[in-house]
Amino acid sequence: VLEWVAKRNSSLEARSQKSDSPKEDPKAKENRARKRRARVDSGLEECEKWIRDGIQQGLAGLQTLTPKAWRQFAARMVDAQAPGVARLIREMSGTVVSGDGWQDRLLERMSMLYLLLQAYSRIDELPPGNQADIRALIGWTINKEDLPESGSLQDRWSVLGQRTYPDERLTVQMSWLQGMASGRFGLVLGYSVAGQPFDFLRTPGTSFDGQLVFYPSAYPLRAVPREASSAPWSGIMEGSVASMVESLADALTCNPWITEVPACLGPVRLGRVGEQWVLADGSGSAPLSPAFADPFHLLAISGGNEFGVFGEWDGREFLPLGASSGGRFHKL
Amino acid sequence: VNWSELVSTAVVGTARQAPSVEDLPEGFDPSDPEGAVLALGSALTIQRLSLGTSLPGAPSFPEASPEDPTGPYDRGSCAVAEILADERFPSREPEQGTYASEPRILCRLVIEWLNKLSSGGRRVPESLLSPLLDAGARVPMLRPHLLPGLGARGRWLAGFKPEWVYVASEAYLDDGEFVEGLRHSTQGSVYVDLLAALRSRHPDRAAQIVREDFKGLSGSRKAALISVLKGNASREDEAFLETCLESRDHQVQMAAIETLMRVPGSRLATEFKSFGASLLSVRKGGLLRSEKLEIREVEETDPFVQRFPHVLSAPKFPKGPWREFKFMLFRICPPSFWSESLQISPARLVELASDAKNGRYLIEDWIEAAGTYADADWARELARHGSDDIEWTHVVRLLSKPDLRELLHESLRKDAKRVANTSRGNALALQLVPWPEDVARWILKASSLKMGPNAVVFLRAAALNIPQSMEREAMDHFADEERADNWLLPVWERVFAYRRALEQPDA
Repeated sequence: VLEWVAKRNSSLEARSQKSDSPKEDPKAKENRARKRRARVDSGLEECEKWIRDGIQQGLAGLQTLTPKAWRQFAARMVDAQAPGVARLIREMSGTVVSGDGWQDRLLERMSMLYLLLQAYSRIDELPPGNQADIRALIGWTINKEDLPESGSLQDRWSVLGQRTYPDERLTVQMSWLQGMASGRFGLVLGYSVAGQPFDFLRTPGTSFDGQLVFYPSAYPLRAVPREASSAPWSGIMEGSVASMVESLADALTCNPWITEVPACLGPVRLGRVGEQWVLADGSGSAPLSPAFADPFHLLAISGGNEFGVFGEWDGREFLPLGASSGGRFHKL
Repeated sequence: VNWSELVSTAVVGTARQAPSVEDLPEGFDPSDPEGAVLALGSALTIQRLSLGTSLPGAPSFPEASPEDPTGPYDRGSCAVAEILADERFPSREPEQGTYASEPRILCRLVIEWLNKLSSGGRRVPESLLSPLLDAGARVPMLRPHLLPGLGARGRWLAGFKPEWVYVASEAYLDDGEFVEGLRHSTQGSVYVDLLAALRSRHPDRAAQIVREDFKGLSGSRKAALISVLKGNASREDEAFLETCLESRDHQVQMAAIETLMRVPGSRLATEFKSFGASLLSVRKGGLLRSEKLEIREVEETDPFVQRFPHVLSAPKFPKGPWREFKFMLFRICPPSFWSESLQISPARLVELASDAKNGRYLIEDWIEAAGTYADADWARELARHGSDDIEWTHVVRLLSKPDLRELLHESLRKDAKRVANTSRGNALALQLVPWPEDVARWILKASSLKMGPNAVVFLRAAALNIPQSMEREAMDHFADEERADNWLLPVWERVFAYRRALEQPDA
C-alpha cells in the first residue's frame, strides 16, 4: 500500500508540475493550427465536390443514399476536423426522409452549405465578425476564458425561454436571455452528458444582474454569463410580428447562416386557420411551429385575450418558449 | 428563376436539365451550372426567410368569460405536470387486471390532488388545464374528480377540442350545431361521452340520436349507445329498448335489460321482479323453528330462462353446487327490491343469506348490485357479513364515504392478516380508503412479500394509504425483506416523492 501511495503522489506531483509549466510554445501552436487548416481545406474541398455531384446527378439520387452512407460522409468531415460541417451533413440526411417538401428543404441546406464553403474559401477577405461566424460553423471553438472582454455587457438579464435537444451523445440546452436596459438578446448554450446537470441553472421566469460576454460574431447572440446575482423578474417586452420578421432579415444580412432569432411578441392573439395555429397582431401573423406540441396550452393561458409571448422565429414558424398573461409568466 | 423552377432543376440534376443562360440572373456563371444552382439557391433561401410567411387573416378565438372567483390551487401543480408527463402515467384507462399497477397509483395521486383542490374551493391553474383535460380524455376515471375544479376558463377551453367533449358544459350542449358537428366528427368513447352528457341535459335529443345512429354498428358499439339511456331512463325509451331485447348479440341484450331495469315500471322490470320473487322465500324450520332463507333451484329448461338465455342461463363451466344460483338476475335487480318484496330488512336478509346454503353467491351478486345502484344501506350490511374471499369491491367503494369509513376501519383492525393477502378486487377497494396510523401499522406488520403475488401488488399500491408520517417506518419495515429492493421500495420511493411534491407550494 505504501508503495502505491508513493507512486500515486509522485504521479500527482508530475501532473501538477506539468500544469504549472508555462503555456505551450506558440510556434507549436501555430504549427498545429496550420496543420488543422490544411486538413479542413482538404475536407471542405471534398465536401464541395460532393455537393456539386449531388446537384449534377439530382436530389432524387441523394434520397437513395443509405443512412450508413450519410454517416460515413459525415464521419469524413469529422476526420477532416470540421465537426460543424459534419453536423450539417447529418441534419441534411434527416431532411431527405422528412416527408412532403423534402426537395425544397434539402436544396436549401445544400445551398447554404455551399455558401459556407465559398465564404470559407475567401475568409481572409471578410470582416472579423463574419470570419468568426464561419469558423464557428465549421467547427472551430473558442474557450470561454479566451472571449474578449470587449464583448461583455452589463444588464439585468431575464431568462425568457429554454429548450433542450439531443446532439449525438450530448444533450444541448439553449437558454434565451434578454437585457432589460439594452433590449439585447443572448443565448447561453449548455451541454450535458448522460444526464449530468447543466452549468446554467437559472430557469425561465427569473432574472439576474450580471454580465454577458458575447462570442465574436457579425450578429452576436451566443454568450457566457458572468458575475450574476438574482434580481426581481422583469417580464417580457412587447414586440410586433412585423418587427420580428424584420429582425430576422437584419440578422440574415449580417450572418446568412443564422437559423432562428429570438423574439418577444405582444400584445398578440392566438388564432387558427384550418389546422394551422397562428399568432396575430395588427402588423401580421406568424404560424406556430408544429414542434410546439400543445397550442391548447397557450389558449388556456391566454383565454382568447391578448397576451405576450417569447419564442424563436426561423422565417417560417414561431416556436413559443414562454408566455405572459394576466401578469403571470408561464414557461412553455 | 423562381424557387420552384430551381428545385425542379435540382431534383432532376443539372446533368439532365441545366439552367439556360437566359434563366440566370446577371452575375451567375452559366458555364458552372451546379455552382449557379447552389448560389442562386442560397440567395433565394435568404430572401424567402427574410420575407417571412404571410398568412391570410386568422380568426382569433372568442374571449373566455371572466374566471370564477375561486383562485387557482397553487400547491403541487409542478408535480402534477411532472406526473402527467411521467412515462408510467397511463395512456388509457388502466384495465381491471392492472388495478394496483403503478399507472393506476399515479392516477390516484392526481385524483387526490384534484380532490384537495375542489374540496378547498379552488380551481385548476391555467397551465395545467390542457394536460389535465387530455389526461381525462384518455383516462375516464379522472373525469369526475377533474370537472368540479375546471373553473370558467377550463369549461370554456373544453369547447375547442372534440376529445374534451366529456366536459360538455351546458352552454355547448344547448348549441345544436355544436352537438351535430361533434356527432359527425367524433367516435368511440368521445362520441358516447357526448351523448351521455347530452342525455342529462336534453334526454329526448340524446335518445333520438341513439336511435338514428344505432343501425349498422357493431354489437359492442350498440351496447355502448344503449347504456347512454341509463341516465334519465324513462318509459319513452321502453319501446326502443324492447326491440333491442330481440337482438341475438349478448352485449346488446344485456345492455337493453340493464337499462330497462332502470325504467320505472317497465314491463321487463316487473316481469323480472315477479320471477325473482319466486326464487327466494323465508321459511321456519329445524328444532328451534328458526327462519331460513330458501333459494329455489331453477332448471335451464324453465321458459323464463329460455327467453333470456344470455342473462339467466347458468354457466356451463365450472360446474358446481352454485351453478343454479349464478343468475345475473340478482345483480341486475336493485337490492332494495328483495327486502321490499320479502318484507324483511336488509340487515336480516343479509344475515339469513349468509347462513343459507350457497348464500355466499347470493351475497356476491347483491354486493355488485349495491354498488351499481349506490345503495349505502345494503352496502353497510353486506360489508358486515361479506367474507374476505369474495369480491366486495363495490361495497367498499360505497363505504369509503367519510361517514361509513369507520366501519371499514373496524373490519381492517379485526382481520389485518388476511387483508394483505386478500383477493385482488378487495385490495383495490381497500386502497380507496385512507388508513389511519394504527390500521396501517397493523396491516404492515401482518404483511410480507413472501405471501405471494397478491401481497406484492397490494403493498405496492399501499404507498398511497400509508400515512405520510409513517413513510420511513414503512420503508424500514421492509428493508430486510428479500426482493423488496426490486419489487417494492423503488415504487414506494417514487410515489412518496411525488406525494411530498404535491404538498409543496410552487415556486
